[in-house]
Amino acid sequence: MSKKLADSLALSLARHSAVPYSPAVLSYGLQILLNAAIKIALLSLVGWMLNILLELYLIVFFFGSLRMITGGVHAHTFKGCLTVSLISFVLLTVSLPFTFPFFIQHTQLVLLLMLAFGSALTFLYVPGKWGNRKFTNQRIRISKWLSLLYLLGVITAAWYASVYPDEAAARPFLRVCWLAMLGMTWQYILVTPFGYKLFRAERSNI
Amino acid sequence: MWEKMKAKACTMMASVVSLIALADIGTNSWWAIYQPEIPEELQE
Repeated sequence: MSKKLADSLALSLARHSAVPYSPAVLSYGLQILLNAAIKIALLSLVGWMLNILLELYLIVFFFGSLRMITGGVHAHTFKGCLTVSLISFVLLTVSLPFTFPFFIQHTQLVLLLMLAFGSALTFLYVPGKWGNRKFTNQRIRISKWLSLLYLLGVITAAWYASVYPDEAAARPFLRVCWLAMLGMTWQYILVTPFGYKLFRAERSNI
Repeated sequence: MWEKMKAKACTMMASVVSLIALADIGTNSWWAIYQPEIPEELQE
């Protein structure tokens, strides 16, 4: 539905524009805008209803910004994308009250595991391929290093917050770091063969 | 006058939308898990 609407809007824009633009490119941009608007609206609605709006936004932000570096699998349909995004982000966010105390109790161990997990997946699978897109060696190298730097940045921030003398002041910051790690873990999974398999299953089920 | 304004508004909107399309391709649809079919012009 969003494709049809985007196609007709793109045609009208291209026809009335003083500069020649490709209707296909405009339609692509409009589909991105429409899909994003629908997704933001739904995520915000669910987040507001469950009272987890800020946490949900933070997880999506860290997931999305790491995804920009690492690439990865895409859903085959917008419906599939919306369903998987909503379920995964909401589940990750509502798990916070159960997982955060564990993180607080075993901060150093969790950070070490996250470092090992993130580094291993970065060197093995980043950047995640999609379609027939080919990456140059330089692009692959840049993606791997940026992904590693991103991971080190979050882990260093979390470590600093965990050793900060004023525990009460550091707690909200640690919470944000934990949300970041949850979003990042989900994104790291999406560049592995398991992530690709998951979305093949999505294609046949949703 | 009206036609000129309409053309200007459409040109502006089209340039923003095409920038979004290019940025999306360049960043691997960073926010989306679903990527629409990439037009031939942007395949490269």
